[in-house]
Amino acid sequence: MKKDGTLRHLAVISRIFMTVLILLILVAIGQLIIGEMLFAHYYAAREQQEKLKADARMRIATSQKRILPDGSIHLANRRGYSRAGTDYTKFQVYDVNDNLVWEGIQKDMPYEYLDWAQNLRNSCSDERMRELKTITSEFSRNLDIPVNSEERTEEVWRYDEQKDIFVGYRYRQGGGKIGYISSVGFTELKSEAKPFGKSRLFSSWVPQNSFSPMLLWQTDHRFYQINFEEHNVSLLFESTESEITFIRTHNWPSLSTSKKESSSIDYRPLIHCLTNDGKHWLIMWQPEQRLTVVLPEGLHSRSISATATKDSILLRHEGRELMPPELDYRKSPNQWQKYFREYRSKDRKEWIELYKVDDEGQLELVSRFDWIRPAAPVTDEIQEKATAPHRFVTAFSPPLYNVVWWIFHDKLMELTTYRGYRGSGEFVRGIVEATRWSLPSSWYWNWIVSVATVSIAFRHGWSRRTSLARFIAWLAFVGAFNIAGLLTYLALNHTTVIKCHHCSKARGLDQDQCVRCGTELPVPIQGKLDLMFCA
Amino acid sequence: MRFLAILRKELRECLPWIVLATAVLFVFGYVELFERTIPQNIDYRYRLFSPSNDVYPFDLTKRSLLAGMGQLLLVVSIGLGLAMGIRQFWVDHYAGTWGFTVHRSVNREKILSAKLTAAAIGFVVSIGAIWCLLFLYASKAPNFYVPPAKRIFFEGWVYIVSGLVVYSAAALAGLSTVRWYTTKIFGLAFAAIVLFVMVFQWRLSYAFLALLVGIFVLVVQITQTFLNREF
Repeated sequence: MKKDGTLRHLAVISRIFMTVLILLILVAIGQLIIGEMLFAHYYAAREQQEKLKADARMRIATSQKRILPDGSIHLANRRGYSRAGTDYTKFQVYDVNDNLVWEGIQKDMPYEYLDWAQNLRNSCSDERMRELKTITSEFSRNLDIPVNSEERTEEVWRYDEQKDIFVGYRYRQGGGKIGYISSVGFTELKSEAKPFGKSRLFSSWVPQNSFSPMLLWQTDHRFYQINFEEHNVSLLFESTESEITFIRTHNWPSLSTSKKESSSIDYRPLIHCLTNDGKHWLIMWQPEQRLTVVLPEGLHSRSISATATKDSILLRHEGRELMPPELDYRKSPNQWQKYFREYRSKDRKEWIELYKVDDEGQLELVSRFDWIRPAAPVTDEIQEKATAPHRFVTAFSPPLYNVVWWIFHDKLMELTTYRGYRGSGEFVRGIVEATRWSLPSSWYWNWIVSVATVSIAFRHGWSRRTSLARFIAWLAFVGAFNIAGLLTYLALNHTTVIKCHHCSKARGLDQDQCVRCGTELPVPIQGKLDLMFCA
Repeated sequence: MRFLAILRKELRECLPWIVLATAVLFVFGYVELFERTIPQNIDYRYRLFSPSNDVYPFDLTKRSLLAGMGQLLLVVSIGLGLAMGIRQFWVDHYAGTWGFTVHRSVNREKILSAKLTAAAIGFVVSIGAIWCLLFLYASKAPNFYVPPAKRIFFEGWVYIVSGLVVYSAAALAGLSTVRWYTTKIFGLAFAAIVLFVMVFQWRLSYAFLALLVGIFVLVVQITQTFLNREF
């Protein structure tokens, strides 16, 4: 009997869970469709933005800040795009005093500006690597690096993500394993291979005189160059104390970051690393040199770019006024509106600085340019129009979302950041973002709708109730889940009602006594309904 | 003994579908793998790159040799789940033979256990065994120079367990006495959600966990409904 009771309770909970999950998803889909349709009628901010484009301050703010080798700063204002390609894009070039110094198409530009280290192009982050491992309907993908001759594939090196090493196979008759490539280089035995460390990023290119890709492989603390054709691994950079934040390269053998053939500036191959402790590492070749740069206060680490020529090592810093730290606009829709009013709707100061780096890693300011970025066109009317559709649709969201968000806000927001995402994945992040979008932006309307749904549930359930505790539990459930809760309640509790033969009010059939007058259900009179008669 | 007799009866009734699933998976799966051994497919599997060029990372990623089989395995698994669920729980309703099934000198728990056991055996023996054989062939065959990753084997079992989720959903829908336009098909909708969650996972353990939670939610309801419903 006890087992039956447990089973019954488990079954009820399972049924409620299944039903409310399906209905929450359906309600969310309905909110999204209706919200987007209503939002499509919002045009006011676009008109304002068209007016802003003509503002000279906006032109200065949006121009590309380009730096000449002598330290001068130019503002290159792009005048639209050309269908003939980037070389034919029209530009106006101004100096820092807003004087027009040149106008024409990109390929005719008479100035040669400094080129800066960039993120690895065509790179694959650990986020993308995880997407490769998503199960899908065709199994997951593998990272296989082929070693090719001019006509065929000779070897294949497969990445084993469990061991963080590469396993090599002969790709011809006979097959078989060649060996292992790991952080210690090529080994024939698996026991000798040491893992690279968890992959964060890799980029690939094919060098000259080869048909096989090489990899630049970044982990949390190291940066390798792997040559599969020669079975060779080079450690380019290692940070033992702190994890790597980003790695940028310039004039690397890979074409995407090498200097243009027409360039007259003699660049040195450069790797620029930023580690989590705020240190900038510059590793250069021709000649080999390694510097650690510690930025003075006020310089934001992520806005630093580096380049190295035969004559000097330069850093570029792009700064802006930051929003107050307590204004976490992701916390709630109301915080977002506050963010717009107190930060985005005001003019902001921005600047660019050029520093020279000496052999000790010390910085010397060479030049600086300041400007004002005009405020975003936000008025109360625009705010109202932007948020009204969202306020309407989220009035039907469960109030429970706000409670959960308020309690677990920090943890949930962590899941949407890059670091949190690395552990959780796209799916969890999507759920959190969808929940954040669904948060009721007007608690007033949300609670009105919630009270209305509870009223409907009360009206429906009063005549059908079998137990007061159960009835109150259902009302609380409906209140917590709003429209989805009401639909769940109706789906699982809609039973037949009849008129009580004594008080003529509606009553359910799940219990013997009428909930209002206490009269029991009528019993059939013997004789009138019997098909068999007793003697 | 009675349980075994009921089990044999359930297996006998589902045998055509189990045999069909086994045959489809084996024949088409083998043909798919055999095509991979054609020299042209082997030679052109990996791209040749030109010197002095950047390489898109996506060009270095490859679907498993068994990718085509993966789609087949998923479809067959879901199909077998639907077929067995309908055969065991819907046919009796439309034929009006629930009375013959349930009113025996065996309690309902044994009858339900026999049905669920027959379904599990059907999946493991038919689809599971064929999947193991084909994976072994792909791992050992001399023409496959680069064997499939071990992870693929477990992903195949994720697909097979997905079929059990669909089977459970079909069973619950068949046992439900409510109208079709209310919550009768909610079991199938829930199974769709579980499969949707499954295909987005990159951790195998999470994928299995999602499927097992789905099966638990459905089987608990099946058990409670079957044991207490009036037939």
